[in-house]
Amino acid sequence: MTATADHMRAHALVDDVLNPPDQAADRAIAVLHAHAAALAWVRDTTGHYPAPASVAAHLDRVSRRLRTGQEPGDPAAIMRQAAVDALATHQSTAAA
Amino acid sequence: MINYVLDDVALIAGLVGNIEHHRRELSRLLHDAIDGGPTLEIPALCLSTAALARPAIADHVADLVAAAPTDAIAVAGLVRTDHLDALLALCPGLGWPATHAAVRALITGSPVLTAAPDRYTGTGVDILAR
Repeated sequence: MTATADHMRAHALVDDVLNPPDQAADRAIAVLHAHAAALAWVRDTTGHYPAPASVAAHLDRVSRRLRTGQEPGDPAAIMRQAAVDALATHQSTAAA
Repeated sequence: MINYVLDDVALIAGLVGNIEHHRRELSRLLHDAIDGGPTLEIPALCLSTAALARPAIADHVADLVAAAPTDAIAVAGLVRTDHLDALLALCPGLGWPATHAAVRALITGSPVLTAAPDRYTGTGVDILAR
């Protein structure tokens, strides 16, 4: 089987078992990916896993606002900025 | 690279549960993984636990692993590591599916995707709750 045929078969298998995604699912997963990318950025920047508790808590709050629509806008950009801000706050607190 | 560790609770919510948005969200996650997005890792003990709720889940997941691009969707085995020893000492009541998910998260530096975030309290892993 070719890679393209495999690819199409894999998508068909998902659709056979689960309902196709809708706009709400697309938004929820876009936020999830942005949240995961923010955690990965913190991991790569600090060299530590998991994220500091205060950073993780801040990212959870921002992610929830994005999912519920309280915070409109691009999830990737907003979560990335939230990670930068939360890590800076964490590091300044730790240094004090 | 972004990778998610899917635990048994997330699998059951997406593949067995009746909540529509859980099913549609898992569908989007799987489609994204097939299309080169974040990869999905399912610990074998989470899969076996989910299969108790619906035996066909194991076949569905195996079909997807076999059809998706290499490493897009994977089932991970349990191996004794320092992470496993530490988790068993730290959280002896966690249960094997969650222990396996947490170990895989620690090994890969990935978050656990779950519908039961509280059970990972004290494990020292990143959690993404659905």
